[in-house]
Amino acid sequence: MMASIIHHPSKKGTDLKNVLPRNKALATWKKILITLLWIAVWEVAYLIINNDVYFPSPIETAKTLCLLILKKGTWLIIGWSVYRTLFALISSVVLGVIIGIACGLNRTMYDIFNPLVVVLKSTPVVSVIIIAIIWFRSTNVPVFSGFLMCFPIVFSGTVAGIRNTDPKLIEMCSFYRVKRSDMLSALYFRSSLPYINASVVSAIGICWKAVAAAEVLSMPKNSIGANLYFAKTTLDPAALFAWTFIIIMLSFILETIYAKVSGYDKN
Amino acid sequence: MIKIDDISKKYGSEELFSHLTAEFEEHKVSCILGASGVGKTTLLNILAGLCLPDSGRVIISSDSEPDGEKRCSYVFQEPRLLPWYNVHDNLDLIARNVRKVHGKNDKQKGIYSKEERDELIKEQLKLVGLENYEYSLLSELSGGMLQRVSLSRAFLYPADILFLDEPFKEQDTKLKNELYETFFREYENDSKRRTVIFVTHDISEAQKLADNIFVLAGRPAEIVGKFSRDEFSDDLKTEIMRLL
Repeated sequence: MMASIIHHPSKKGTDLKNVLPRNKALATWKKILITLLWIAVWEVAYLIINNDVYFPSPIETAKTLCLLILKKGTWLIIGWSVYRTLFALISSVVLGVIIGIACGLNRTMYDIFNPLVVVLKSTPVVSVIIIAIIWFRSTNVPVFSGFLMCFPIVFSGTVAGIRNTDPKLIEMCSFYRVKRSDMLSALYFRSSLPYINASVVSAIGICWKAVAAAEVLSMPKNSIGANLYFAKTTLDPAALFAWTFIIIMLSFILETIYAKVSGYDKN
Repeated sequence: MIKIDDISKKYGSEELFSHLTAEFEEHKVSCILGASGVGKTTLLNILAGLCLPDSGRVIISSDSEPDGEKRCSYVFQEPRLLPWYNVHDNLDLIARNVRKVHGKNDKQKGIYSKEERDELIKEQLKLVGLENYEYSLLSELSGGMLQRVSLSRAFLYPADILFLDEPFKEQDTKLKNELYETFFREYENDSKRRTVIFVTHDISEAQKLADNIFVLAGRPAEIVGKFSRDEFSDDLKTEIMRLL
């Protein structure tokens, strides 16, 4: 007997329509359950340690977080820290991309800048912060530290992107005598954009870490870092956790906004 | 006149060409026919200036543009279009870079205004049957459509010489025939009546498209036969097959 293949196009269409939102809903539920699982682990750890000074409970942290959010001054602090982080990030992205493009296209330029980038990559963030404290006013220390930590990431991403530009497309553009400026914008920059986006997304998290660390050490007025320090000196781990949670959320929001605007898929 | 004069080329220890000489007629379609790996693409790249010979020279003399170099366009084996641009922007990138004077110290303004470029692109896309796809992303087009965009890019560029490197190689027979028609429509419509040099391993493609066929064979490769379209017969086809 011959086997026959029967197609049900209409059925297939209906399936596809229903399956996609259902998968999305399942994924959301999965995320919620995973979050709840980790909160449960946190609660169990709290119960085992059983010392509020060492380890706060998730409920206590949530309470402190709510109180912080309701305070007007918190938003001013968040605003200033966001400003410092964005300043550091934008300046490192602008310079990292410009210098990265120049170095990706020109070997001599790369040889000049690369030692500096190698040194920056291996320099501990705390050394940068301490030097910056000597050089700058306290409010500029986080900006400088964030910039120095992010610049090598964006620079390396851009150089890799430029170097991975399809040589066949370069040959085509050269053959049709496309102007250098057009080649830069239409070919090299566009081709390295996925690399730049990936490096910027990585740089966002690192920038927040560097800025917060620098704020802890340089103690500028209106800064999350200074509040982390106060939480430590007043033995208030719930506040410490709440401020840390704020930093994590701000980093996540910034990453998501960047991914949405640039069209980069961070997953 | 387009001439390769006493050209030699080696890849490692392998000698691809040794003192190869050939002359291609202007304003005609010439085909370099040869088996895979014989050096057809290398020879075309030497002619196009994309690859340098170890010795010998390529003479491309121009009577129309004595001060400038001859403009060339190239249809590569793969479409070589910018994937982040739509069809229009891919063609516009080339059109807006056509300069008034074509030479090494070329700093002149572009030939075409924005309106002229848009008109030209529309006209070209109509010729290749893609007038409804002007603002389509490349991901929305099939392989054959992409190759047609590449063909229209080559004809849009005001070149004197057009090089084609087996551009129809990957297509099925039906699509190949459509692309041949597209090529002829473009070629016949072209006011410049440019010189076309293309390479292929497909004898029927050569027969369909070329005025002159140069058969490239051997190691080092040599032009072992030159035939015009009028000379083509079944006997000659068998003779060419034997030479390949």
